[in-house]
Amino acid sequence: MKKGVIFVIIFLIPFIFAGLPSQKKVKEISRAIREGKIDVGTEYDMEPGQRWHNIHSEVLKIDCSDCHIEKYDNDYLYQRRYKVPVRDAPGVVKREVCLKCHREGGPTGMELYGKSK
Amino acid sequence: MARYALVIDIAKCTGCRSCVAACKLENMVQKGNYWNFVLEYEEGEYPNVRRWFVPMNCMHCENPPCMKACPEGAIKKNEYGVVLIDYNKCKGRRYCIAACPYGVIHYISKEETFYPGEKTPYEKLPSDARHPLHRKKPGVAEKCTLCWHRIEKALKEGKKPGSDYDSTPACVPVCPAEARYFGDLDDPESIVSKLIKKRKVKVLKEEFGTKPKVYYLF
Repeated sequence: MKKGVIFVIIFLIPFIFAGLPSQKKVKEISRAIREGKIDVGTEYDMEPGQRWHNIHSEVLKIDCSDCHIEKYDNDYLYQRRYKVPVRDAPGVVKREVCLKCHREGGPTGMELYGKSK
Repeated sequence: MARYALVIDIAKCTGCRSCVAACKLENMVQKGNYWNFVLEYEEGEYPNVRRWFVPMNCMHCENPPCMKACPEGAIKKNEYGVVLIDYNKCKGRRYCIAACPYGVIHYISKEETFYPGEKTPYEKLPSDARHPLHRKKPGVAEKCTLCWHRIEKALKEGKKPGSDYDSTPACVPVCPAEARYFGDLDDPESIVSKLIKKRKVKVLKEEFGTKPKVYYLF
């Protein structure tokens, strides 16, 4: 029984992390972007096709649905929960996704978030 | 040096939105945007239900991700720990909006008047006649300034910020439930320091390591 549970967990791991690239890969890509080996454009903007989306969706291949949510959970704390998430509105993306790479000591050179105590 | 902070008593907040209205008026926040807003949360099952109100504004983090994310260097934390956007430098890249885990930064996409087709006397004021923090324009990001224009004025006049109505952020004195407190974290005698020491406090999204300076009492 115990062995079966361990087997299922090990089997599921690749699927759980399938959407996001590995930390090692992110580190390599981040370095390559900083060194100019990967062209992500010079337009610092949020629109698709510009630098921000080029890095996250084109180069790192992060799925749109990893960040953009179509519908808020029923208990999601959000002032405009009944409106479809739109650009600029609070809570457009679940920032927990960002935390994985942009935390202090994370694989990118862009450490936006600190360490929780 | 002082570090200004807000303490909000969730147990007292009735969700009346006086703070939201006061902020809107004081800072002439763009229509559709809110520097201060209230989240609502319901828990329990009838008849044992409880509704929570969580007023939100810029957390003026010690470690602000918006400041680090801005490619133009338009966001700065001043010596009093207040995080401010420089509208002259902001180019509306919206990286700050993406980085802020609290969703409290807004973008002004176009100029909108409060009343359709007409401007209020304040809206008619030329940009130069306003405080630099009120010289917003389409294509920039905006957020709570902790009413820095009031704090700055108080400091210039030699007054202690938070000591009277005019030197306190607009959202604080209007609260009918007296659920909001403002003061200096570095002053052990300030109301915020005393409350933080005495009561159970929480900050939002602690896991992001932003060290917010808006504390919630439960």
